[in-house]
Amino acid sequence: MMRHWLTNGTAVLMVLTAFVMPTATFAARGTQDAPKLLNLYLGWNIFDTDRTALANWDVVVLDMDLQWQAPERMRELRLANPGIKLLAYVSAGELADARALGDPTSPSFHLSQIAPEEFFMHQPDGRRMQWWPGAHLMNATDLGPAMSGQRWADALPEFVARELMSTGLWDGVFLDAAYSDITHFFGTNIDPDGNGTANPAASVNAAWRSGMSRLLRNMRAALGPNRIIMNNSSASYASQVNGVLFENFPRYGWIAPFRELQDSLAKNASPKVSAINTNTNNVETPSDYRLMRYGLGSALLADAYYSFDAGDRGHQRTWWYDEYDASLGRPTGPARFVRASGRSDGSGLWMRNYQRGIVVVNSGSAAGTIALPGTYEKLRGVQDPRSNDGGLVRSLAVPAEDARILLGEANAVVIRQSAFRNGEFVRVYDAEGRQVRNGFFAQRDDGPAGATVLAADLAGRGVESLVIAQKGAVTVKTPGERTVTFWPFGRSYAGSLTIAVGNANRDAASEIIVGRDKARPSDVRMFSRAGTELARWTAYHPQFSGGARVGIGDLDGDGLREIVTGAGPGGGPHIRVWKTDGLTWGGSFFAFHESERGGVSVAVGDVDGDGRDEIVVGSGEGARPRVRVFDFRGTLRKEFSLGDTPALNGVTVTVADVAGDGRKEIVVGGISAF
Amino acid sequence: MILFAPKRKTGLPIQAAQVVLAPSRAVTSYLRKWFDHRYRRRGASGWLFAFDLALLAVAGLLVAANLFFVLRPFFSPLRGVELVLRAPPLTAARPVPIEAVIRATDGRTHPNVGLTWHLPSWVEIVSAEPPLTENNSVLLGEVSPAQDRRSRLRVLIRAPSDTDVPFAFKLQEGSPLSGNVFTGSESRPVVASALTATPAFSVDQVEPGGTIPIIVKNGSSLAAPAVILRLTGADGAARSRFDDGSDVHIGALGAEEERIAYLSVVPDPGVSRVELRWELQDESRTVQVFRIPLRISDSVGVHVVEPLRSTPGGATAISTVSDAPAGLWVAHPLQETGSASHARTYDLAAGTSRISIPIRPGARTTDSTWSVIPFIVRSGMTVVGKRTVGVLSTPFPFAAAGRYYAETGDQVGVGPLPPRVGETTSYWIVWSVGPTDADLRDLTIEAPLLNGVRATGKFASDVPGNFSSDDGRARWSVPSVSRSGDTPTTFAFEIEYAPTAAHRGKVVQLVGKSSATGIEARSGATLEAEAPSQDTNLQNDERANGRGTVE
Repeated sequence: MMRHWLTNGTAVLMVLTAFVMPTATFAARGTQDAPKLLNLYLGWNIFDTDRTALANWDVVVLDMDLQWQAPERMRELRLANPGIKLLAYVSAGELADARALGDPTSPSFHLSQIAPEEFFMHQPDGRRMQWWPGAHLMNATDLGPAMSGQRWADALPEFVARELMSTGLWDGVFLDAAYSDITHFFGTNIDPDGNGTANPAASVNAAWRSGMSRLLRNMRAALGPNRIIMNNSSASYASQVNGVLFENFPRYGWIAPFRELQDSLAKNASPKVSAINTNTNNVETPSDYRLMRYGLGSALLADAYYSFDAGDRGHQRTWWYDEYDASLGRPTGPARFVRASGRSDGSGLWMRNYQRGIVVVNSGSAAGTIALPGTYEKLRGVQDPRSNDGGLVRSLAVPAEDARILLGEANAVVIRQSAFRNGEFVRVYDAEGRQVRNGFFAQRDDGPAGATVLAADLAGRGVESLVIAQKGAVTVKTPGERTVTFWPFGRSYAGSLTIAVGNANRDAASEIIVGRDKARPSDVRMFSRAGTELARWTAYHPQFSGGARVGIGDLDGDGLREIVTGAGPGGGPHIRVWKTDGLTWGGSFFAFHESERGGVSVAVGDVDGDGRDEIVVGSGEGARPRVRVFDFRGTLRKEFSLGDTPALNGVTVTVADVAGDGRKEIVVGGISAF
Repeated sequence: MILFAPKRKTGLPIQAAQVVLAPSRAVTSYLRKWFDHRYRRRGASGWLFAFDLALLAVAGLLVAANLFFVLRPFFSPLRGVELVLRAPPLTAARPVPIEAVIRATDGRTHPNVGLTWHLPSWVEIVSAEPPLTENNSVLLGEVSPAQDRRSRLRVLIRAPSDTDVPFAFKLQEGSPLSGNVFTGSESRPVVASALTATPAFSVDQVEPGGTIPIIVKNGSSLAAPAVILRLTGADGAARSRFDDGSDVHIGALGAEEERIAYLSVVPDPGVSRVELRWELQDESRTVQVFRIPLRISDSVGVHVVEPLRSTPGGATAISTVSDAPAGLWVAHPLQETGSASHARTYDLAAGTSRISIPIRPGARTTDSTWSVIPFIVRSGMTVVGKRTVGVLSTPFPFAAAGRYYAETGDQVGVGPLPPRVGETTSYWIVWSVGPTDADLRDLTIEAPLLNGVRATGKFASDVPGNFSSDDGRARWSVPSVSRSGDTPTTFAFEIEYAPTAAHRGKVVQLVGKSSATGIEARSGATLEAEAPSQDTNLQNDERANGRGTVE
């Protein structure tokens, strides 16, 4: 009875949850690898048009009132990008008049209520001080009067912790106007102690810095060690915060702020989020690609976050660039000054290596050419194709005040977890059919040419094995282990094999799925990495002589994998899906017109970032070369053509994260390179 | 029969009547006793008895009905409808149109007329109009004096000539379970076969060991799926065999396709006359039988000089020495004959002759052999000689190309283009072999690297092999290459070139003449080819072509 109720209750709960929780219908970056992106999305709401795009940033600064205005959209962002950091914008040094005019239930209004007149900075005549229109300077020093034992440096952190952080919607706080020097902006007629006399500028600034430093200490104490504190306007407090924003970079010079950025990063507490904001000075010119690259390149040199928008009156932008999609990974060395170009102030050609590429910045006043430490691939961009033409280079000419991001040359090593023919020429496409990398020869030196090879961590212990299928035999080579060779279909079969690997049961190890290619019967067999047969079945009619091409993946996102077979030449382009024990799963379908008899190739992987694997199918021998992407129901999701000339040997498909961005690309072979 | 003495007077004066009625009285007495025993002790005994009686009556009715339907015929003869069968002379192994015309002859309209065909298992229905059900039936509908009905079939008959083909049918009017039925059958003989196996030319005599070429042809528009040629008799030549074995398993023979089988005649000692018989089968059914009587003759006196070799694209010639004017029958898959057949005859003069075989330009085949059979006419009799088999080698196309860009447009070279003094530019050299019609082994391709060019060590091929570069030469060694169908097999490697000042303003050779050698696996023939050198102008690279002058 109890079990009956439990089972039924759980099922009901799961159904209800599926309706209550919004489903993530878009995929975001979800990674903190470079380039690291920050968005100063300072507005009173998150626009409908920006809901999806904003999730692509790593750190987003939102006005604190968003927690009251649009909490569900904040949750959506986090659902779409679980790794996103949301920082509440609060001014540490000023209070906008508009805050007091807001809804009495809003955080802004509450903030205005904790700031009595005594917390404001005054001139000797008692007037408040203003630099930014509509906002007045607060007295962050310890010289002003205390109210109930508190000053601004005490009240603000308390407010942030109590009012903002307690909601659980924020990962930290962004403190604007954390000046180190207020006389520069507000003049010298400042009376911080309220005695009716202006204090000397030096003492005013010293008191300000001391007070602001105390404010930041109080903020850390209130927020705890795990929340992020970022400040604007000064790098003086770098050691007390996780990051400093360098706004308007490099409008007032490059070398000095760059050095300061590097210095701040060295001092920042972890996680380090110091950032550059480059902007178009309040002119709506998102296509200033040179400026964008210059700022981005500089941020990459420093391994900092990067923000690009219209300016301090137009921060709320979701401009996206080709360079943002270049997944560079982590830096593998420091930024290096190569040589001067034009100016002699330390500006010039700079370079920094990353795991999957390199960034080159020319901060000088003249173009310069730089020799690269190897062959690199320019980005394949659509926004500025002259600069990003996808070409291979060993040296690079960079215009003045510009930068380039280059990717490491693609090779067979990046094709993992999916089989390919060793030595064939391949091209890399995204699910939309856009070629994303220069074509290359997928040649592994540790496997024989012409063999079907597959690199994967079979044991689940972080050691990559190489599975080689050739002439009826499967060989598993693992460093430090004995090489295993077995004949899936007996020693008498010396024909072609198709292979796939995946975890077909609940242990840590992956299994090897093997099909007979262009042979009869179209058996599919599953083996352990030691060559022990675990399951077998026949995919198509016993008399069918085309064999079965195999793939494995989790098609419905339930954590259990399914095996996909595609018919070889002679049959229609038929796809079938199986459980890992050989029982049919779901329906079958024709990937192309039934009359096409050249067979199909199959691969399984998440190519659209929706969290479920798709079935990728390549057309067969003699057909126009096409690739189609299906879901597990056989519904066509994407397709693209590779030309009109029939491919005599058909198109082979495999899926791999070539870009290193966590999403699989479609690697297409069978193309004649020459 | 049990006689009961009546316990009381029945009122029947005649003893005989009493005797006659005694059994019935015994039965009724028994029944009365049975009734008393079964029903008297129960309440509502009358009702119970009536109920039981009713059940008995129903059972009896059912039994009677079954008996009625079993014994009574369902159908009565269908009258007033006739079926006329129309068919051309029947040819086996080829779809033949059959038409049944059903018409009313009694002036009445006959509703719901159905036709069922009953055909032998060796008659295959290829198509039907109207379509037939699984049991070869079709509902024709109403047949009236004003409206004939037709059932058209295309049938494929697998039987030898002179076989009678029974076309049996059943016409039925009314419901399937009853109605009027008319069954009938009409036979027609098979008069010919579209699938034939006949000598390529008229043969009267054969020298001992001589070979008769037999053309197996499918003259139908449909493919024959499983054709076998069987030698069924060899009187006086027991050791005679087809060259491919006792039976020739031709397999699928496409529409209008022909193959050649070779029957070598080995007479028994002292025998001067032989008779050979063979039959042609499709799907295990005989469609044609053939017999040929032959006299054993002396040698035809023609010697074909061996070995015979032929390579597509190259000249093919046959040298012979003949004692007298004779003829040569040549079957070569690529021979230009002016007809669908690829066999033809040539005249031979006495003495030495050399015949050039015209080869169809651009033609290819996967056949590995061709055949030559001499014959001579003596006293009006054609005497056939021994067969000589020639080797048909695969074509061996070979090309070399220098590339900076792939055909797909992807950049595969790196570095300045045109090359610049002091900087390094890399290219890919691509060797392509084939397409070939035969497997190759021990394929070696090599070329000298010139002007300081060096191989980087990067190479690519989808065929197992070894790449090496030493002594200023680049070399691919490939143990085996399967025949490549329609696409060449490529072997590519990367080179680097750093021009010196001496190269400035010039187009520089990168790789010298390339040479390829290999052995055709089926024949052992050595194949050789060359390709021109490659320079920085990259003639084969559409995008990089012409950008080879060193700067």
